Amino acid sequence: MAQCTKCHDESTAPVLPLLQSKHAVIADNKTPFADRSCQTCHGMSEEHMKGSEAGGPRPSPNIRFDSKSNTSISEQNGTCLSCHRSGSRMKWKGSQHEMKGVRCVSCHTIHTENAKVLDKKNQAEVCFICHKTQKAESYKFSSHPIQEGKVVCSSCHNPHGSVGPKLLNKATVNETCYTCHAEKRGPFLWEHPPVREDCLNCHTPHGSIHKPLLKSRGPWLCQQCHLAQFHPSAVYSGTGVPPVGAADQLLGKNCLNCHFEPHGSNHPSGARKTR
Amino acid sequence: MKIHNKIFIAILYLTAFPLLAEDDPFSLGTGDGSFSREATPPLPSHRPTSELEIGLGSISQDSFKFGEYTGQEEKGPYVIGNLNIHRLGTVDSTTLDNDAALYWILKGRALGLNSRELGLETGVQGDYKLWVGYDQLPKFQTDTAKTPFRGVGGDTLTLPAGWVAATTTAGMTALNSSLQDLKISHERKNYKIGFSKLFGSHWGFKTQYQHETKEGKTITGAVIGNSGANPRSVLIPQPIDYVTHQFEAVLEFTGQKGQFELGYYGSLFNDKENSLTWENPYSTITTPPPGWSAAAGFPTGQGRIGLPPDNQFHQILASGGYAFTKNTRLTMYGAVGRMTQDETFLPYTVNSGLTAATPLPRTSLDGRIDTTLFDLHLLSHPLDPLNLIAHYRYDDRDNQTPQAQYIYIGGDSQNQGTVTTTNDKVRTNLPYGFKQQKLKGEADYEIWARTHLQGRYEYEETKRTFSEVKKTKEHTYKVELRKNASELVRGGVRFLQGFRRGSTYQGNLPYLLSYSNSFTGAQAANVRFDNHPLMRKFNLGNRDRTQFGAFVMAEPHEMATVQLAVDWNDNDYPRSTLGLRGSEGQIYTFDAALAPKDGLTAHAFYTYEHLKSDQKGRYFLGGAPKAIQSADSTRDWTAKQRDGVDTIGLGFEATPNLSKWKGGAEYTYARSRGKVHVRTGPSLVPAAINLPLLTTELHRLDVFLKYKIKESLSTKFNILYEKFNSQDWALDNTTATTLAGVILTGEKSPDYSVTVFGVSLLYAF
Repeated sequence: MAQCTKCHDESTAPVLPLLQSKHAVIADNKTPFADRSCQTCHGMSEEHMKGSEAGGPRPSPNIRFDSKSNTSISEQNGTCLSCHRSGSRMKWKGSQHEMKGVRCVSCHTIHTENAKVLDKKNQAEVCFICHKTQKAESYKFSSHPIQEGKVVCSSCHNPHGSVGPKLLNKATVNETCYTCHAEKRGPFLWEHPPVREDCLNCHTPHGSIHKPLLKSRGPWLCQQCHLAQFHPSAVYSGTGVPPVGAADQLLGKNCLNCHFEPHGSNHPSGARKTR
Repeated sequence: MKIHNKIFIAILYLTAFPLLAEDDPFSLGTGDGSFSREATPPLPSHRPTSELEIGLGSISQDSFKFGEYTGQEEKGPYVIGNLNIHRLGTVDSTTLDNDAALYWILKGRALGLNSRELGLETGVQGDYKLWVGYDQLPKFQTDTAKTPFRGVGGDTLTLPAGWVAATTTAGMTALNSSLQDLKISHERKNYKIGFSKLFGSHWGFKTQYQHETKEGKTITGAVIGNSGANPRSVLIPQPIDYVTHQFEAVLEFTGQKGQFELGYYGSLFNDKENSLTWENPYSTITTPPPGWSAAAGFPTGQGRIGLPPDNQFHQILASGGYAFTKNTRLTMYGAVGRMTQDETFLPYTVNSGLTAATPLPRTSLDGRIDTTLFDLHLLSHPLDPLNLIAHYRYDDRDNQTPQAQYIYIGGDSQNQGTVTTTNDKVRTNLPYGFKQQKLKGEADYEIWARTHLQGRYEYEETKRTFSEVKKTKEHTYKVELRKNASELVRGGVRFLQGFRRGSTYQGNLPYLLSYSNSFTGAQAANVRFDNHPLMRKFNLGNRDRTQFGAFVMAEPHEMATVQLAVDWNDNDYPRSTLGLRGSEGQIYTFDAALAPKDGLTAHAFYTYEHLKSDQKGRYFLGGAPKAIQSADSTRDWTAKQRDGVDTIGLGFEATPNLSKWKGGAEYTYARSRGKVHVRTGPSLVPAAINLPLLTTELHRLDVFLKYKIKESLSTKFNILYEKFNSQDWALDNTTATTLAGVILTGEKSPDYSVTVFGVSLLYAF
């Protein structure tokens, strides 16, 4: 380490904050510093340490993690996985991010004391570097408190691999949603099948212009599945909006003015989700 | 705004106290913070930086929408309080014994606001860890609503003295004078405690308990009536008083080749309120006959809705990964769980004046869904440039809830009927369940250096109970070309097509299974349906899906990165004559980041999103006209929804060399336009007209300036300006009496202009 810091000090590259990180706790014999310090991750790098005898550019260390590195992505990631292969990283191999060539250091900054991606307040900034659509959605009128750093990407997703769709923490969409919205879990006497199957049949998770995080506006969203006699099949248009008119099924909470519980009802008289 | 000064001061005291102590048990024993041992030469510094921020802020205007999740909803001052204290244990410079890995981290954010969070983590790194946390999350919904009801927040709502009931809102002469302001919000408080321990180099145990309360109010629709001809509704404040307990425990094994986890997850939901009762503000509806029973109307009539029932979920899960060879790895996941719900049923009606001769078939549901999930994922790397993946997934939601026949009372407004050929209020519950299997094969070949060609095939089969479609099958094909390069230039294109096909769509199956045989058997064969026979539910109907995406991320100069991306997603429902017939999403993104010189960064992004959905309906009445009208395509209507959203962001951050100043600014603009175009067939009168635009527009400017007074002390100035306006035809221009049959809250769509000033001191140590 002392050898490395002769060159890699604060003035040339900000590596020293690493010393304040968990990786540098020597008393934990599982850390890189308890093993061979910098060389644990960067390889023995003998040529690099020796330097160029001719005074030319110094050869690279064996393993480099920067964007210009010639070290393969699998070798870079393999270095991290040699320690971090259990728990939430167990499904990294073959995960969406791995298959897309994402490197551990694409998201994690090692030579720093407080990594952004591990900070709830700033984590989304890291994810949004690639996930631009979700970034834009987080500014929409109806959204989870992503911008506020209260519900963050890792609240629902495990970027290291998961059995759930879209790298969700839980194995299904609904199990993930129920961790915060357990009141919608039931089972209910009067089930609403598309709700039981997948919350995303009606909702979109990152942001919508239709609250609460709905894919489209009611009553038409409901009418995409409910087209029965009388008012469920009726046409609703601008004739039902002031000053032209006023339709019960358009204003206020539209269908939910009466059918208030679309997630399922447990009231014996709630077959139509009005109780 | 609530400022919990005492709590905050206590936190400051507790956090500052160790810093002031001369004999700080958590300070580094060597004084200069260095380590030494033969294998590792002395290190320059090993002391984590801690930071404490305290200051004052001021909010210029009340706005629930502005402070929706932050707790900055009220005009006035608030305390700025953030802390991040990280302390290491003592170090024996000779032996470097385990005490050196003793640490604690105390983090707090927004301590002066209702969105505060505070967490303490301590332990010996590499050995054990203990953590506790508190997280508060408000949700300010609206501050412009009004209600005539008294008893807001409780489970019984009453009307004020002198209430004048009528069959429509126009006749409620005391309504406007009875209205009171109704502020709608709720708040979550989450407490958690966890512990993890490593046993040797292979085994570990982790457990966590979370206790979350959610308290406050929301607005809900409350209707009294028994058919589409006589419902009378009112939007009322619904109390929220939930407690959710979550517990998880995991035993882990980590080996060189294999890793394994065995765990338990439990979630128990409790709603302290099980129903909400309100006094009926309407007088008895008698037309069209039979209308309501007299007991249902004001002053004797009440309505009662059920609130979310207590429920539980317990799950045992096992997960593992094993590397058979260096190039072949299998990961597995299995979980069995059980959702249960058995809250005592409410009676059919709250109104004692209504007769209910037939008792409930059960006193509670005894609802149960058994969940089984099994997932196998095999990754093989047979050749250097080739990766192969095989994936199988089995997901069963077996709903074991017992069925029974319920002769219900329509909206607390009529006497209970009996099983007859005309009573449509005899229903059997349908405990819906499904079983899904998925098989996926994927190949990724590195055709050139860091250029990958990926192909994927996926088959999904879903079997459902009590559903219009017993089985759906979907085949999905995907091809992607991607260049990872050295991340100086990355890019890719992908194309996906999916085809979902179902078994025979029997649209009236749930209708036949749920309504009584007496009732359905008495209907003519050509009208024996609820939903129109030509309608296909979009989650069940045949679907052709096409997706296309392309992106490029380039670093044309070492100080600049540029990204361009396009995503297009199209869903067609080829057999859906009625219902959702198509939906499409287009997203275009531009993003650039610059670092023109040391200490200066800038960025800009623009995203345009266009979402559309097309659906078709047919308006038909019940009774005698049903057969004719449901077969009449001149009664068709179409609705096209088009949402367009622009989001723009610009920002910079500057830290001039050797300067004590650091500053930055971030500007965000987000605008949305929602259109609904409706067209009607010639037999529908009056002809439809388009809806007014739904609009939102947000300007946000966030500026900060930080000045370093000395190495350990800085001051920070922050100004946040946010202007927002919106138009929503469902809310704007409405009052309590706008609708004849629904008492609205008169809530307005949000419109605000708020400035927040903040000044704070930051102490680093």
